[in-house]
Amino acid sequence: MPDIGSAELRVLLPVLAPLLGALAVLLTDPYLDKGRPKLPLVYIALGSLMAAWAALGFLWGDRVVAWSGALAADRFGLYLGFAIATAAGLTVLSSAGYARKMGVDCGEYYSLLLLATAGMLLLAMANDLLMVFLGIETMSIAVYCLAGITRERPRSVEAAMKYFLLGAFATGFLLYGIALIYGATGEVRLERIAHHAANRPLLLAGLGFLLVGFGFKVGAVPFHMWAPDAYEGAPAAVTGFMAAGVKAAGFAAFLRVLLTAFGGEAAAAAWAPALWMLAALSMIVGTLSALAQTNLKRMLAWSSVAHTGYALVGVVGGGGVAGNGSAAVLFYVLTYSVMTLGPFLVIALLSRAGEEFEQIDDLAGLARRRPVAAAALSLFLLSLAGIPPTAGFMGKLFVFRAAIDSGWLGLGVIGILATLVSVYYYLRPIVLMYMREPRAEFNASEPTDWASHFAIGVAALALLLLGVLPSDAIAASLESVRGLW
Amino acid sequence: MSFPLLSIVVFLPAAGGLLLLLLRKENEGEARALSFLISLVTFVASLPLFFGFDNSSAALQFAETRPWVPALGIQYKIGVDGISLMLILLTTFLTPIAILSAWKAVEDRVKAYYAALLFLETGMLGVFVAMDLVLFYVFWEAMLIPMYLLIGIWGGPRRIYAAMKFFVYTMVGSLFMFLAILYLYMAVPAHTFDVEVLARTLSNAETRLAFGAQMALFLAFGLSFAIKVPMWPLHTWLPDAHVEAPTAGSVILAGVLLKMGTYGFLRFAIPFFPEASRAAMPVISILAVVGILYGALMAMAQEDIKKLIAYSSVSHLGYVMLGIFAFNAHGIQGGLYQMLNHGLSTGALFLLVGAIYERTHTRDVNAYGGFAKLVPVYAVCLMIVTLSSIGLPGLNGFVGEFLILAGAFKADKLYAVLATGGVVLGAVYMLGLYQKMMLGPLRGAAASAAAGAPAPAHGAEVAAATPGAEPAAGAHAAPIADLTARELCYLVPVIAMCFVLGLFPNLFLRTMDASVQLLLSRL
Repeated sequence: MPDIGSAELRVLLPVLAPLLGALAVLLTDPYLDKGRPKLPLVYIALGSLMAAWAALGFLWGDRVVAWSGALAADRFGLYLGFAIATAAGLTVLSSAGYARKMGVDCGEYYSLLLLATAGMLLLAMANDLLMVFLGIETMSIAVYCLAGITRERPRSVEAAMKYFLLGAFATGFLLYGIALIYGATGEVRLERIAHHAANRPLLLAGLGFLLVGFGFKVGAVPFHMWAPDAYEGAPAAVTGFMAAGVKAAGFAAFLRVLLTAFGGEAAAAAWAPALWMLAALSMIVGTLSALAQTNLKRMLAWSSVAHTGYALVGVVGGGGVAGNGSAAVLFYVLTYSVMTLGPFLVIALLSRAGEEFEQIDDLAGLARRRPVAAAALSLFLLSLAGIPPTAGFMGKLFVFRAAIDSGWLGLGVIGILATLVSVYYYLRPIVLMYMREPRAEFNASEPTDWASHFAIGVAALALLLLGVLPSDAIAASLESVRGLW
Repeated sequence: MSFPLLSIVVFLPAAGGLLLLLLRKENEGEARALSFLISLVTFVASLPLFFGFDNSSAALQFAETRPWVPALGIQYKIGVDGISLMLILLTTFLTPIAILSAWKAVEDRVKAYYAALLFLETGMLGVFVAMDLVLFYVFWEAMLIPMYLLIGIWGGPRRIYAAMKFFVYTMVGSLFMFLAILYLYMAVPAHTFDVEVLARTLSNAETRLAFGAQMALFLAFGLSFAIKVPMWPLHTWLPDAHVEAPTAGSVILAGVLLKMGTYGFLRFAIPFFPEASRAAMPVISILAVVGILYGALMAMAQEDIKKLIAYSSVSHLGYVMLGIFAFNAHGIQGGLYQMLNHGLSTGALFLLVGAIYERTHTRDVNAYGGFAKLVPVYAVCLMIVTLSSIGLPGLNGFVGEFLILAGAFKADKLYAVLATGGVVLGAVYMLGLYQKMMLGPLRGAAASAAAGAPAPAHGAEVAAATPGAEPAAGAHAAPIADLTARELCYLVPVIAMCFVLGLFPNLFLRTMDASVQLLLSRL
């Protein structure tokens, strides 16, 4: 056990903040009136997330490695840490009204959200394989519970069950991979694994298992089976958090493991073809499946599979640390986490007590009744389709540029074709909202949910800013990857 | 860097659009006035571009360069040269006119309608001034959204189909262009998106790309532009979009949007890939000629006035392509000039159709007849615009067509001869349209209106049985009035410009000279 110096504590701050927040929520909950809105819990959750944000900002700078090298507070981890903390914060804001409508306005809900956030932040900073595992499990178990938190809805329970069973299976793969790698090298620390020759069968087998485990967490085809059901069944606010946070944290760890432990040329030659397949399949299967959906959440689930594919294009086209594909992935995942969270915030806003607003056809005429919600949803969808001047376009530009620069023209062509098809299903809701007359009734009579509107506004503004003035975020992503060593 | 005049011209409409969105829903009159004012100010602000333009220089003028995303090599670089100058002015000129024309026609979601028009203007101006490929692509795509909404929300009965078709057709082309842009970045040693640098590097015999790469990239860029032109056989989105779009949308679509494809060829595809362009010349010339004749023949067969004009656009844009791909000074200048002419004449035609449609609520030619007696001023305007469209000397159309055909004769006589046939057909369908609408005995809607009685069975049948006719109760009974002061306000400037361009062509042709010479030297 090393001395617990200031570096150790500092590095842990972003994780500690939501962790303590979760405890505070649980301790406060029993003292609150049952019948009234539990606003204090929301304040605690928001406060702890803001503290996490501040801690991330405070750590932004030089690379600090602590806890015997198990945790690394470097720009690489912090970059997506910001995305995670932001996504969590927006989710909490939207939950203030949504959780009440769904009857889950309880301490457990907020504490699980914060626990999951702590796990995600841990994962983003994990610098050895055991810490990766710890982060993934903390995050996953909390998210399994969240997916099933609306206990009365059978679909929610089904989603949680499916997610849990398949997730546990994937964790097994991950752990097995870690074991094999440890067996081959005697190391769990990422940069030390890199010193071992990558051509040993045992190590390669370990890498293979790791790819399966991570592939599952980020929802890449063929390890995506859980995504549509889990996304559809889980309550909307949770789904958005899942889609944004889990993917951001998953990609952070995935990329760090690949670049640090297996960044050498020999190792990269082993994983690049495999990831090429995953990327191509994810884009194709995700896009084609999304075409056929009538449920908005399910459509977004398949779209998130396709977006995993786009991000993987950047991983394949990374060209190691020297190339800027890895930076492209960071930027892409950052923009993706905002633009995928957005639609779920809107769904959460439009949902009525105990009833999710999730059929695409119900969107008909939304622009007349809820102009702000319709405009924001359109912006999110246009960004997902990669149409400028939104962030989605800049993300795609960065990723595809990296892929083509490193000679992966084939992936670029597949990506472009997938984007083309995707335009159809992203535009359909816009057609319904703006060009058809209302069919369903919208809960316009309810008092305005300002917190939710605020969250949606922040997400929309962020997408426009990242689309029009992306320079700083892109420069930071490049620095983040350079700072990995 | 001095006063950023060009940036102000480009972004003023978008700023106005944002301002409009902040207005209260009820303030429809203010929304109209504000948007008109903003577009007018934009036009005035764009005039110094014309008067301060140095005709003797092919260099970029009023240029502004700022880093935008330096990490990815993207700049904010805009500027004007002889190729884009008149197109910018055409855009700023037509937008206030389009806004004025929609004064009465749009009653639903007024604020959003005008905001969309203003955003569209920024997008179009951006396309013409962008001198960085990524910046260009951003404007090129962003422009789609307001146009898509204009057609889809305020369009006719089949608006959703038309809007979707418009969007998807354009996306098919532009995504391949996107890939080509990224590939180009990698293929050029300088690693840049800068259009000037690329044009210089890629047209230089020593540094140009291999022929195979040129051809592939030319196809990717060319497909995107050919769809936008639209060239036969990629034109099918145009009649749908035109028929369904509201009047202002049609005016902008015909007036400005259809110039983007031909502009793209002149700005990007030809100077970047000179050898591939030369190789593609016969194919493109044939397609252009087919487009000229096919568009004209289809126009002759149409009964829906808007559709007729849409097909006439296919024919007219065929001339432009033929002129550009003659690869000589006459052809290219003629092509550029014809782009302006088409913008004015066809824009005016749509304005006139929109004006009469507001009175009769039908676009079916057969519902008209003898209207010259009812609306004499309108008839005069329509006559002038018709003659301008078929190229009568003294009006603008003549200059463009003459230059194009002169250029085409120099390049290849066969195409020129065939294209001349199109001129004859053009006179046939346009004069035919005028005759059916304005001359002869009073018919259909006009007859009933003149009688001041409910529509007789015949007229009602015609109106109901034809496409584009909307059952509008009481519309027939109202007497059909001549052009109002507001309508004259927006028609007179366009018609005046038709005369100016026809009588003093050199005023505008000389702005293009230097840039066209530079382009030719790169071929």
